[in-house]
Amino acid sequence: MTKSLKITLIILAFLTLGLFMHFDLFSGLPFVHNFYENSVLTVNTRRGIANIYIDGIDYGQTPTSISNLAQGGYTVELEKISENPETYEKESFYIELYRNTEAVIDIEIAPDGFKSGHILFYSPMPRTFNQEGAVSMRADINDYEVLINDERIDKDKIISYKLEPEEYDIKIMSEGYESLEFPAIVREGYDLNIRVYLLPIPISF
Amino acid sequence: MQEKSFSKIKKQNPVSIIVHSSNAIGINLAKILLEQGSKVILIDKFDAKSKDIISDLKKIGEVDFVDIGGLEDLMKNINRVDYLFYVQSEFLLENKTFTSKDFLEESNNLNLCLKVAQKYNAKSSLVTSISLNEKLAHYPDYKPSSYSSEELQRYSETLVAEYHDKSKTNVRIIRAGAILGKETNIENFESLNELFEDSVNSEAIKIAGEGLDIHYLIHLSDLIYGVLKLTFSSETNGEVISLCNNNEYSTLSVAYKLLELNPNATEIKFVPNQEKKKVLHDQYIPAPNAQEYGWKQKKSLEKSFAETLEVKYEKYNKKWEAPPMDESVYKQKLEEIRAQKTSKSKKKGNTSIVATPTGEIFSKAFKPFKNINPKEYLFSKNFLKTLALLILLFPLFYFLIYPVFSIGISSFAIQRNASELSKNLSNFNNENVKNNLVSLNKNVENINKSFGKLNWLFLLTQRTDIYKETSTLLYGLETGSEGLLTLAEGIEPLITYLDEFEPALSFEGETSVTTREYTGILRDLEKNSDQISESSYKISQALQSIEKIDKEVYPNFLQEKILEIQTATSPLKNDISDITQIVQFLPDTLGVDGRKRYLILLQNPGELRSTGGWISSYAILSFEGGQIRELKVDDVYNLDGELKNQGKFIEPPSDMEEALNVKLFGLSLSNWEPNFPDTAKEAKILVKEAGEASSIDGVITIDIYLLQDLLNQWGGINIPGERELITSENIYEKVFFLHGNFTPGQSQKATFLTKLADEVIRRIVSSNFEENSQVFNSLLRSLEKKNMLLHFNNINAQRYFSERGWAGELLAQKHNFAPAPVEWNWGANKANLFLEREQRINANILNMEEIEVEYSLTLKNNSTSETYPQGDYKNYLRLYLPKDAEISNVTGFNENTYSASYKKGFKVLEGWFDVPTSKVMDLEISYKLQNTESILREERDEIFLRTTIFKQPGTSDEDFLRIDITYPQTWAIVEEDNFDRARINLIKQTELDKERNINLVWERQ
Repeated sequence: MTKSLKITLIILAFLTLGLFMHFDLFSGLPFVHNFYENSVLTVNTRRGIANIYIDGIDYGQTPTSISNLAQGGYTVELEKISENPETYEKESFYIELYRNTEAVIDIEIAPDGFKSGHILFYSPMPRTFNQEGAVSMRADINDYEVLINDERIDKDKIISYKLEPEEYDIKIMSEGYESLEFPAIVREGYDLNIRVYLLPIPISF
Repeated sequence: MQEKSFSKIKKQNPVSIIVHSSNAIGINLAKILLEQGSKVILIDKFDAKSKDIISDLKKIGEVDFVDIGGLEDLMKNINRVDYLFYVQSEFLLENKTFTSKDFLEESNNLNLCLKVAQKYNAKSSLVTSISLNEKLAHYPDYKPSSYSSEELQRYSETLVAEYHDKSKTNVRIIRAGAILGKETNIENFESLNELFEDSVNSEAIKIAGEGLDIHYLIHLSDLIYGVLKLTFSSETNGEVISLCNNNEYSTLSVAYKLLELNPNATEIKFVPNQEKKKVLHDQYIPAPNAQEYGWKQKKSLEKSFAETLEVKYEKYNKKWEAPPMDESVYKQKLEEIRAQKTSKSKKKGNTSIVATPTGEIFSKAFKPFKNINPKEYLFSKNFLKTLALLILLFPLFYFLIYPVFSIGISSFAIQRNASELSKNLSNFNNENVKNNLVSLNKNVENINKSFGKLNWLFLLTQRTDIYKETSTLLYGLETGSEGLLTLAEGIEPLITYLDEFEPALSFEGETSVTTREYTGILRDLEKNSDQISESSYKISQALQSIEKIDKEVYPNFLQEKILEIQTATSPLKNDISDITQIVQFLPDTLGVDGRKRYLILLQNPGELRSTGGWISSYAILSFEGGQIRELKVDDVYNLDGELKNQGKFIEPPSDMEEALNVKLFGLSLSNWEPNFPDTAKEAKILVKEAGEASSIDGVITIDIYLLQDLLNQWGGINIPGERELITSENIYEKVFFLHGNFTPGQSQKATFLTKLADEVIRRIVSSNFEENSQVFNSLLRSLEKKNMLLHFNNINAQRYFSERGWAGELLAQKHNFAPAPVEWNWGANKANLFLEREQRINANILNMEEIEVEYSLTLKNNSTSETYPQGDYKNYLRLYLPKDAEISNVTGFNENTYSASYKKGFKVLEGWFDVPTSKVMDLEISYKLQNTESILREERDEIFLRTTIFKQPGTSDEDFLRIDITYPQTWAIVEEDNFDRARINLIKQTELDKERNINLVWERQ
């Protein structure tokens, strides 16, 4: 093989590799695409079971864990199975899954459109040289308090709020609403997005 | 031979001598030399068989034949020699052993030739055999006899080397491989010959041992060309050169090649190696190949084999379908044979495999690789070198070349995409916008990934700060573009709705234009509300990241770029937030779950009332499934008359009755309450009471200024039945002239307004995006200026409009500082069209708990006569003050008579404040606020003042407002909100064209 042919081949090989990387063509290759479709979604409905529809496709009933999902946005609809189905609304959640991450929907569907629970999913955070993760939180009400490992954190600060990567105990409280408590794992290089729904405490006369 | 003949040689013709020439090499050499114009002297033993050859050669050129016995004489007499070819190889291979005499004679002949060559400075070559040399290399395993051909070759080569070394004779040793081709005899190469013999005469080609011994092969024509080229080249002087194909062929590979040519034999048979030769092919290293001196193999091995096989078949009088000798046809034939062999077991009928055009292309593309034996190449030094180079290059590629290349390509793509995106956005082309955003997102993602690979560069240069900020910027851009894409997908139903909407009704009472309804689209929009909300959150996260970027770490020219990005992306926040909130209530308000009815009140600001003006007409507009299902326009007096007809005499609010002495309430008076939600509530009750609608889901007021603004945008509209174009100039006259002459039961005005509404809606629906964006801007202006007020039962909608100040609210928490004046024209004229208004607020902030306020309201009536619509301004004025205001002075009410009361969290002073024709009247109030909690707030040594100056809907945009604020000397202003500063005073003079929010911040000194 002549030198010029060898050089041409090396350049061509790198060019091809570059194009594959640039246009993410590896993801379409057999077997390789499995590495691209490795997101997991766990869906649970407290106090009852619900039918799960993801982008309109029936995925069975709660609780379940759906694996091998590709990165992207999904509309998850939960339809509570009840003797009085008209009491409950079909709840719809939009969730974004990122490669190699797990997302959790843990919700209680209450009558008349009320719901309680949390949604967790990870999204990448800006690259740094520090080994850190972050948490972003929002709720369906404006006034609430957040405790992370029993430490009170100003809720307005919990937007990409930097934390060491480990498991934390999250507690959300608000007057007139039932409190929520759940564990959450902060991962290095990821922003843990937490969406919280609080259920009003019924007023008894 | 005549001696003379050698002396007559022309100078320009070279003289070539070929010794041992009566073989294929010598004859073919002679032919070529003769063709090239050389005189050739052939020296050998000639017999009767040589006659034909001699006569053939003589036809070509000047040739002499000298018997080898006369060589000595020839050498003595010859006076010129240019080229000497001593072809010893064939002579040695044919005579395996020699007598001592023959040995001596041959060595003498060579010596004589070399002497002559040296004498005449001729270029000489000694052609010997690789195979004989190889045998010598295996010494001491192989010991030839003293007078063997191997020893003679060794002697000859040594002699040549001595001549070169000692007397600088221009001579080289050319060792030839086994010669293949038609004119050759491979019987001298025993093992090779056996393979050919077997392939012709046996069913199997027998291989003794493992078949790994090597053959050095060459086609005769390549050999001739090689001998000539090497002899002529001065580079080869003194060199020993192997003249054979550069590839080494094992016995096994030769056997396979032979099988491919479809000879008699069909298989290979391995037999024990009886001779048990310890010949290890890898012990022999041949001399440098002729290729190194520019020689190239031209005949393929297949063709060489085919020719040799042909000779063999002829020898045994056997038939063999020899491949054609034309190279290209031959190759094609060979391919066919190969294909037939490989598909033998699968072949059915007469089908055969032929080269397709694509195959041809591939064949050409892979031509350079055909001569590469993958097994050999994989273990060759070359391959390992290449592999090592690749391994070294990969990190350079992965961590530098690729990221830079990828960032470059993606940046270019983004630039192109951004301009397309803005074009598609302005064309409202959501599909293209989505495509642009997909591409934009992909490219930003690529840049972000690639930038991550360059982190080592920043570590190395210790600029981790730039890396961090740039990562944040890229994260913001990537997240933002993802969010925008999600948003574009989410609002797709909304875009479809706006694009495809066609009203079902012709409002002039004609038949339905379309039966289309949009429930499905609105349901999709409703379903997407969470997606839209997510996208909004994502975008706000992205914008926050971009906002936070510290520009200082960048060089100056980049700082400007970053600032550009920050400035360009910042307004997105509000726009996205708007879309998100609108989507929350739009499906419901457009009747996705059932009919929604809206009451529209047309107010005339020429006769100012609490929420904008006297209500002259009303309309009921219904939506169901996103489609307009009902529109009724009527004069307000018809509804009031209907109430009377039904015997429903509704009492006015007590304070209204007390103030205006009215006993009967109706829609025309329903806007007494300055807080529009209260007015809306009253109006809804009255409409329901009149039986016009079972329920009302929202109330909207519009005034003539909004209509004028729209007509200005369109340059007027034609209304069926109207002789003239309806423009912003004549609309007022048209609407209110009709009302002025209205008598209950008449339909002239209602018909006009219905037609006007019909044309307005038709115009909006048929307009393109750009025209509608102008309409949208008109509506936004009207909402800001309070020419339009909105009230919805839908909580989300009401919250949205309230937050933007479009709900016409008068709230104690918001209007907590200056008096909010609410006028009510009770003079049955349009005096407000001739009125100028001026408000002055002079506030002295004594400390955090005390503010002294002096307020004045000046009204100037520019009416010049008492004739309608001009005249005295009979004005009932209510001043809404903070409820804790300690009033110290009030002047200006008629006869200084007023009443004070508490309403809706305010302290209200009310009374008549009339302004006669051509007069100016002042009203002044002084008060002190000692409860300033809702106005002033202190946080970490910073003091914030937040308040809103009320604008009554329907008042002129040109009303003058002056605010003077004096603050304590210990405070230093930090944010002055466009106030002019003079020591401890802040001054602002402006037009009160909309509600004015004041946001001031001080610092304690």
